[in-house]
Amino acid sequence: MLLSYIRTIILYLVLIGVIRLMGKRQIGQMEPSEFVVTMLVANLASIPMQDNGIPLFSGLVPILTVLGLELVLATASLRSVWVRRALCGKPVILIENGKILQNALRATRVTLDELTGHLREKDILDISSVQYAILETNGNLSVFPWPKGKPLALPISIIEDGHLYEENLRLAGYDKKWVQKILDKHRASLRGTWLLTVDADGNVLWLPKEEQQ
Amino acid sequence: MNRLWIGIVILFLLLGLGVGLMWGSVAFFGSLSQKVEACGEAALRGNWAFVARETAECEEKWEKYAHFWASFTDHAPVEQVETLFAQLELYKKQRLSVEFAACCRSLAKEADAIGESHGIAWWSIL
Repeated sequence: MLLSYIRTIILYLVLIGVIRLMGKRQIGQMEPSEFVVTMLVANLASIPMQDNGIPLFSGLVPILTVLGLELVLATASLRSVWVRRALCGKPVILIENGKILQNALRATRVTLDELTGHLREKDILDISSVQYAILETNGNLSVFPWPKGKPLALPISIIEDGHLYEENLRLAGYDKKWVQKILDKHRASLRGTWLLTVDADGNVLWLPKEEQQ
Repeated sequence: MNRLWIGIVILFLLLGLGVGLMWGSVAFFGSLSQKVEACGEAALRGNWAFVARETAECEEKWEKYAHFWASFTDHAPVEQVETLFAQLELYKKQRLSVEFAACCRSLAKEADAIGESHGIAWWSIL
C-alpha cells in the first residue's frame, strides 16, 4: 500500500510535469493539475472495478492520494506565486498592440494557422483588428479587438498577493521608487497589497489584502 | 484553509497506514516464512512432532489473518498460500519428508513475496 502511495505521488508529479511541458495548447478548459487529476482518477477507479482479484485499496489509495495532493497544491498555489507558476505557468501575450509576437508564438508552439483558427472562433477574420491576444494558462485564447474609441490600455500586474513582479515593473517602465510612492499614498505595505496594476495611460489600481475569515 | 488541512490529513493518514502495513507485513510474513522453513528442515530430520506442532500454529495464525491480508494484497498469491497449506497437510499425513520440505520452501518463498510486496525497494517502486 505504501508502494501504491509513493507510486501515485511520483506519477502525479510526472504527469503534471508532462502536461506543463506539452504546453497550454493541449489542455483546453482546465489547468494542468486539474487535467491530471481528472485523467488519473478516472483510470485509477477503473482498475479495481475491472479485476476483482485486485484489492479495492489498490484503487482507493491512489485516488485519495491524488485528492490529498490536489488539495494541498491547490491551497499552496493560492498562497505562493512560485507554486502557481510551477503548476500552471503564466499567460503569454501573442498579439500586442496589433503586432504578432513571433517569439511568443514559437515559445508556446502555437502556429499561425492555430492562432487564426482561434480568432475565427471568436468571429474575428482580420488579425489586424486585434489589439491583444493572450494565451491563458488553461490553453484558451483571450482576444481584445481594437476598440472603436481610444485604444485599450492593458493593465500590467505589478504586485499580486504581496509579491512584486520586477519583470512587469520594468515592462511598465517604472521602478521600485514609484511602487513605494504608490504604497505610501495608500499607507500600505507590499505584504498588505492584494493587487497593484498600472496601464499604459498610467492608471493605477490598488487593492488591499483582506483579512482571512 | 480547511481544504488544505483535509489534504494534509489525508496524505498523512495514508502514509501512516502504508508504513503500518509495511511493518505488519514484514513481521507477519517474515515470521510465517521462518516457521515454515523450520518445519521443512525438521521434516527432513524426521522430527514429525515438531512439524505437527509448528504447522498447526502456522495454519491457525494464517486462518486468523488471511482475509485481512487479502484486502490489501492481490488475491492470487493469497490463494496460492492457501493451496500450499492444503498440500502441506497432505504430505504431513503421508509423512513424505522431501515433498513436505519442498512444499515448505515454496510456501516460505510465497510468504516472503507477499511481505516484500508491501515493502519499499527501488525495483518495486519502478
